[in-house]
Amino acid sequence: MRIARRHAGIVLAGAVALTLAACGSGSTGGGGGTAGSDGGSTDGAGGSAGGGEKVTLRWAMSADSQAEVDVWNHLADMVTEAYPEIEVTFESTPYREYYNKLTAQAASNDLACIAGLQAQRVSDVGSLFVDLAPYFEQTGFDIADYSESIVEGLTSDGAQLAVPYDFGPFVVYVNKDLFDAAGLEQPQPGWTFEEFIAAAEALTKDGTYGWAVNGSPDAWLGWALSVGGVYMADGEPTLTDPGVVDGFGREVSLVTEYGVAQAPDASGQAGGASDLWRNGRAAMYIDGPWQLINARTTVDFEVGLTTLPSVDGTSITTMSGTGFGITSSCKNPDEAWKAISVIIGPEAQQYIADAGRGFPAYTAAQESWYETAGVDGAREAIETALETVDPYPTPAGWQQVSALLVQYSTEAFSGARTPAQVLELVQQQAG
Amino acid sequence: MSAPTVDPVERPPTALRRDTRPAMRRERRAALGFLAPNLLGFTVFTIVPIGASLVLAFYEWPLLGERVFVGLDNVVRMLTTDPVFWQIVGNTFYFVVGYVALNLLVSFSLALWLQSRVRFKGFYRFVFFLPVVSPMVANAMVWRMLYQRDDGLIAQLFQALTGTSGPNWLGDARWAMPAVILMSLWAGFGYNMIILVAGLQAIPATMTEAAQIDGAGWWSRLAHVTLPLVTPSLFFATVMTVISSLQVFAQPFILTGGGPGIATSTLVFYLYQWGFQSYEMGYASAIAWFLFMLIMTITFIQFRGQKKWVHY
Repeated sequence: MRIARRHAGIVLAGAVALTLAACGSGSTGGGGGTAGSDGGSTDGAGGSAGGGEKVTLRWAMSADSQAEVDVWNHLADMVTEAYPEIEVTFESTPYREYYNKLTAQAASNDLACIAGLQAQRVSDVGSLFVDLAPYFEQTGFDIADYSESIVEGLTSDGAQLAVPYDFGPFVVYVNKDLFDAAGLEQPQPGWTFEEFIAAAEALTKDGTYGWAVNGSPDAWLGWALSVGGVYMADGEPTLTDPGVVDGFGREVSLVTEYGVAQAPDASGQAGGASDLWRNGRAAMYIDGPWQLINARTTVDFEVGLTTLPSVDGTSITTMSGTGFGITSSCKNPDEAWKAISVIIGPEAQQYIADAGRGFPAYTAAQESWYETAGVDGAREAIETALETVDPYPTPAGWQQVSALLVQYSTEAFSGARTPAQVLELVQQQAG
Repeated sequence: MSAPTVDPVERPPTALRRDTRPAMRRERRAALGFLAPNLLGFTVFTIVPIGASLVLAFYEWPLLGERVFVGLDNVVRMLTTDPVFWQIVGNTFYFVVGYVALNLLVSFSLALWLQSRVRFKGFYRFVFFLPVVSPMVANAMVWRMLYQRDDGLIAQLFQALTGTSGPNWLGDARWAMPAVILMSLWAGFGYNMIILVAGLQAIPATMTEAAQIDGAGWWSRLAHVTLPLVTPSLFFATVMTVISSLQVFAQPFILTGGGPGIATSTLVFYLYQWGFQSYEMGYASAIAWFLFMLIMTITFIQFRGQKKWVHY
């Protein structure tokens, strides 16, 4: 019996140890177990960072493939090369979850020092970032080397929250083979809505469509902006604005009136439009230039780019882009700035351009991106679109609005509700 | 254990206590020790979060920014001014009623079939149970392809049988919920089937034989012997299925994104949207507590009602 009890003691001790270990690992996401990363080593080095001791910085960013993770890790290594006392540990999260994680980490006071920030998220999470302008002055950094529209997109109340690494206006992706097969001329930047409809109608046959619609405002706000729509006022969404209704109605009419696009299904997944285009089932769809190199290597047809067709002579699209900033809870902001200046610096931007990642915000690197991309018409389309691009500022809660629009838009595309009714419903819930 | 060799009755009561109490105490300590890991986990990961969410329900609690105590405002807003809340409650009941009824019908029928003289019984049981253990996300992805209009497998079946491609499963608000229910049914009936197979196997063969000798036909044996004797298993299956279907989330999240419109938004999906798209933890918690009360009430009613139809 005594032996049995001793065994019980050992088992019990093991169980307790296991539980404690489980608790430890279970709480790393919630803020408890940060020792070993930022919390532990940075704090230790914090006081003596100036004394040449090693500083470890956490860097959070979204990445959806190993290729992307490799790019970020390479940039992290570049930081240590330039500043041997700084070590950057990259923390990868899939894009879909990235902002959830960032917000949760902020709420539990466990934010990484450096974090990625997308322009359309400034209204929601911009408050987690510090103004970088003071660092520009200290280190003689010139923000004017970066494309103006995305630099503006990453500001809030005059504070520069992040320095952009990539950006781009939404442009129209073209399956050139389908255009050739239909005996159509390749569309050129500056083409009109009427020309677009004529092409789309000619391309719609045998289960293939001219266009792939998308309920996300990223994709259809261009129509609304081109007709003078106003989607936000005083920091609130204004979806029932006549121009917005007209713009969304135009996207819907491509299914319901012109029949040049398939009505999308309700789906929990994004990317329906790009899938249709990639599978050769839609000749055109709208997306950002960051997709170009990825798209070109994954489709078996020739890719072209052009601008959104103009309505009454005007073509305005939205844009998106991402930069890196310092979070307000960072204990080593000076080192973080040094790291960022490498990550978004000329060498790194050149590396990103050569690796064919996002369209670089650093204007001097854009040239080599066009060369890597090797797509005819890419330069003309992107440069033309940039002339009239809208920086796409968003009201707080835009992500919810965006998700609701995707969710409800299927009813407009199927004809169950009018575009105006759908916008009204979403506006009601957003308010 | 060092048990007393002397007859306890002959010993003074104090000595008795002195001898057995440390042993009892040791036993109790050991029991507590064994319980401790689970209790600790249960407290940290279940009781504390539940308590915290109750507190949150009385606050306007954005993940970032200022938290304001608002009393019952969240509850009032949910029950009176939220434009879609009651529709979402309705959707949830639509799913629960459709799913539970079909699930019990299918799982009970198949359990009965597997009880009869069928070859490869074990194989069928394995096959029917397989969807239960395969991940719901993968199931939903596959079903999304099956439901594709025009060229999905189901549309092709309709085409072959009726000449039209059938309902627009995921694009039409009227058909989206049936699509979610059908997919969930396929993924979930195997669990109840196994429980009911076990319940049926526990019925003594002598009972049905006696009924057969008395001249009872198949239907009569089913209605008056088998069914009453399997009611404890049916009751368990019903309660568990109702509870899990009230909490349905993965299917609308992956298959339909809650759409078209909010045709397939259920309570958990809705609270997820408030919690993790809008980051309004207070309102999300209020919805969670509504769901908790709902489940409690329905389960309570089921337990009260069981006396009338469950035969132990």
